[in-house]
Amino acid sequence: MTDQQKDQWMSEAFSQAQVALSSGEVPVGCVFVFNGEIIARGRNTVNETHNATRHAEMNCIDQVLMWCKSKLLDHRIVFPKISIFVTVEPCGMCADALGQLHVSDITYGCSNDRFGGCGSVVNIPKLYKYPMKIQKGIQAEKAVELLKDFYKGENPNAPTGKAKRKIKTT
Amino acid sequence: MAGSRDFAVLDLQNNSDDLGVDLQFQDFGEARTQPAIVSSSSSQHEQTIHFSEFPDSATDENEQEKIGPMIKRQKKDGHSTPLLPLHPAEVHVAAILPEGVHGLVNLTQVVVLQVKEKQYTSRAVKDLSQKLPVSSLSHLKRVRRIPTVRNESECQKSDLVTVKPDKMFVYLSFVEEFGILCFKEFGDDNIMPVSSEDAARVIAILNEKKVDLSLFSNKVFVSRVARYAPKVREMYDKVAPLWPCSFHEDSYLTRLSSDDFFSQEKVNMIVKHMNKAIELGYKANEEGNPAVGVVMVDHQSGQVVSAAKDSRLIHPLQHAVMVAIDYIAYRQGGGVWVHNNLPLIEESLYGPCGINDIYTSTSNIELGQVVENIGCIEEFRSNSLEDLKTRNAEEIGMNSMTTYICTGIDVYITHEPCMMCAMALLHSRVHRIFYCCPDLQLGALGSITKLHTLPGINHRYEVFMVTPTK
Repeated sequence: MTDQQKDQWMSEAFSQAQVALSSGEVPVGCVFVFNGEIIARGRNTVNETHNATRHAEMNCIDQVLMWCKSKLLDHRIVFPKISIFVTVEPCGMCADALGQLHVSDITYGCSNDRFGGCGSVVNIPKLYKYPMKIQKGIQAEKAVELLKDFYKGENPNAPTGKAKRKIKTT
Repeated sequence: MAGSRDFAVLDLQNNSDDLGVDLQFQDFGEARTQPAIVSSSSSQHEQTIHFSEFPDSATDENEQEKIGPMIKRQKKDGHSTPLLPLHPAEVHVAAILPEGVHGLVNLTQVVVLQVKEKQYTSRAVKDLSQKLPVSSLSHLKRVRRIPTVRNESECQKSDLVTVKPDKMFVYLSFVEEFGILCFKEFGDDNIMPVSSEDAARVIAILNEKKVDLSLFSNKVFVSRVARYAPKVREMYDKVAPLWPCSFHEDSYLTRLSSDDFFSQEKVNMIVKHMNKAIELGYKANEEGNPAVGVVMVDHQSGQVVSAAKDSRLIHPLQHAVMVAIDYIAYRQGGGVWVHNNLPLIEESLYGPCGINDIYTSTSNIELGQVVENIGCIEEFRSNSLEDLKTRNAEEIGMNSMTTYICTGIDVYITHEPCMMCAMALLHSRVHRIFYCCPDLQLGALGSITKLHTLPGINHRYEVFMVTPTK
């Protein structure tokens, strides 16, 4: 996998994040790459689905399961060979979900101080001894900019009083 | 291996094929009584070491050393066997609290000097606070006064005659700082003199730091002190006699750690909901999934708002908790897995999960408690999926305008949730979590870690473990 390819896939993830931003979601985007081909692209759909667990990674996992079904492949063989490109550090939930699916290659942009699961708040791969190869800091500034853009606005679904809190990103 | 059953702390299973599960329970039970001495990072390994205390599992330990604790643990699936229903009179509900709030006290050892004369004490404290500050022990008082032991006749005279002055001690820092080994045993006064070599080393270090040694007698001691500030009265009572320390009671933690946090009425309610979850676990198990069931209840109204059984066999992420969360989302006009055209999920998801038939089914298991409450069943019937499709969200009590994801919801789970589920519940802002059975491989709310006590998380919920007392 060359750096050029990595950048290209990360840019794909960013275009998903952009879509999320324009539909009022937390701007996080994600692509899953299998055999050099993107088999899932997803973004946050938390507000749209009223389900706080619908992060970009989770949506992508559902897509991969469907893809596997259509190709008559066993997802247990596919997931370990998948590379993930996500704009923001996966949260504890996503990191554990990916770990349980034996995903081993994750590349992310900026860290998430609020609920990052790859070292920021908890370190899932270390805690559960998942053999994950994690690379961070790819186009991090861009991811931070997007998040800042989002948190300038307000979460349309948040109850009054909880809306608008500043996010710290590194 | 049969003998090991005698040691089981939580023998919920009657399945003799699954003795490994029993072993995990006794492991947990043992660890719960002695977590405080262990640092949180290494506690996982410490727990497995307790295996050796049970004669039957002595062979396991040798094997374990070869293959490592994690791999060993992954051989057994803690979810595989369904739980037996609980009985309200024989249930213990205990909060899962941060390290150091319950169980044994976390102690450490410090080097101690005696102040030569009582009147030097304030000078000594001032001198040390400047030259040898120990910020991580700031909860300790610098000085400990040991009253001189007098026999009775002296005591009677003491009002009239001048009293022999009390001994004043000050702590310096951790024993490790001075290269002194920890003492294993202490006398009643909790003060042990060190060897002359160690004492010389301490004096040399103090000279380097320009501590005024003329204030102290030249003997050096070691004493045990509380490592962290006690937060609960029970803890304070244990550590204060060792060395005086400040105590700011955390009334919330005190309440949580007390045994009677829940009234019997509340416990009955908890057991009722938990038995529903257990029955859902049976349903999941019949289909070859882990026997995990979840019931979600609105904290205010007591209304059951969601229920789900595990279906990770057909979809690796559809742990019971995840399905239950998605069902709430569905009721608020969202949801993914109900609408999704994944055919494999569609048919198994909410339909068979029973909403209609969960509580009316006559199973062999004694579930008198559950079936007794007709009102609840009726309520559940009325909330069935067919009805939901025709009514809008506001009518069925899940007003999407006032309810934000899962705020104010109590979650009853048969097993300790994994990190994914625990974090999903955190994202969903649930109020309380109750679970029965710890999961030593994956559990994120007590076993591998205590997610809800970690600093830096953006929402906090309370976690309770519901265990049979017998």
